[in-house]
Amino acid sequence: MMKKYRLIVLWCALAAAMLPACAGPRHIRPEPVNPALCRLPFSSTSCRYIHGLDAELPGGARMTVMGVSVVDPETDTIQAAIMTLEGLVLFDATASGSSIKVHRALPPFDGPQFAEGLMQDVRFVFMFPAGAPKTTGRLDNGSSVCRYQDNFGMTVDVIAHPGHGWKVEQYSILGKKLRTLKISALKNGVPGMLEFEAFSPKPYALHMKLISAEPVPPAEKK
Amino acid sequence: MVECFKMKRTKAIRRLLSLAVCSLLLSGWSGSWDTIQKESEKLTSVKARFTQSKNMRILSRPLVSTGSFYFKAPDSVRWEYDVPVKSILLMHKGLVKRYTQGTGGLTEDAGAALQSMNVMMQEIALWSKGRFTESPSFAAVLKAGDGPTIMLTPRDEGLAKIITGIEIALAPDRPGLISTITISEGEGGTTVFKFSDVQINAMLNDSMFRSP
Repeated sequence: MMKKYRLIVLWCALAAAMLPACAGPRHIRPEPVNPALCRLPFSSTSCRYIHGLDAELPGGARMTVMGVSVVDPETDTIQAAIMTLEGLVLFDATASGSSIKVHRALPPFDGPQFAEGLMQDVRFVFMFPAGAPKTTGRLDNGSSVCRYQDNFGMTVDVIAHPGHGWKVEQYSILGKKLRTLKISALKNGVPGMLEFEAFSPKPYALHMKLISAEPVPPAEKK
Repeated sequence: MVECFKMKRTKAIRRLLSLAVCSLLLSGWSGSWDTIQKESEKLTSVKARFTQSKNMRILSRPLVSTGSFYFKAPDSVRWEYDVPVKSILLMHKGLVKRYTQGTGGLTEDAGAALQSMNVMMQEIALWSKGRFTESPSFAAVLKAGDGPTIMLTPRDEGLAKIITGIEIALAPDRPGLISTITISEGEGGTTVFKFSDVQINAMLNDSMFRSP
């Protein structure tokens, strides 16, 4: 009897622990939403962003670096660099489509998985999902949602909270939450603060405070 | 990824903090290694403003940071950035701490790992005596002239992949004072430190090296 009780408690505990990660995309009430509302915090042209990155590490430790990101949605190209506050470049790479070229990666930043994971994170933060939304609607709290799905079954919800910024949530095909991004209210069309969180394979969070943002002229892209 | 952050940040702090200390310790010398050692022994403290300009391929113009630098012999350092990210790096009696400005105010950073301290202290001990040629990390060449320059070259290949060279230029109009430090990382990437308002042997309280 006691053993059976322990099993039930264990099952409940496991289920509770799994629930937040596997709850899947939010329930939305389908209704028309202008995709422009969801797209508003994302630039559709090439931009260079510099952020102070406050990294929250497993165990509660934290540290601060600077990040430079050049994002060109038109050519699907991303350049990203991480440097210490003292200016030492730790990582510098360019991703174009599915190919990645690492210009500099100090060991142990030089693993191929690191570069791929980092560039995916940068893409998630700055690139708006391609194509038209699969569906649109509202949450129970009235927020508007644009739901996108890629060819691999990955779901991305862009949630617009009127007057309170945006939230982007990415889920795997199994409904596991992979990444989230909170976007603050815009200043001159650019979010002053981005709160990024990754849940897998190792959870970490980045608080990204905008230092500068500027358009990249076509001549520079060449 | 997070472990990488820790390790690289530690190395960066060690290298760059060492360089800044080393550079400002050079105050008061005129062109020979003997003079460096003699003048370095007279130094008790340094206080200066600095401007850091980062140049690299991904940037269209230099990324500029500014702040203040304090050193008190034998081994206390306060390296304080005002912009663009407020942060304070403290070293005192073998302990290194970093504080950065977050949403909740200044918070201690986990990046300044203590494991780097042994190497750091060895470097400072050498440099504070003007013994640059004895550094295990960099080979030093002194180029005399109106504005003497010290060229530092990494001794091992591993370090050379991170920093290809360092040039320390002395102010020609004020003998002994550092004008600029240029750290080269290859592929056109450089970090240039310019020091100004340098004060030598000013009275600096120990408490400013213990807490922000």
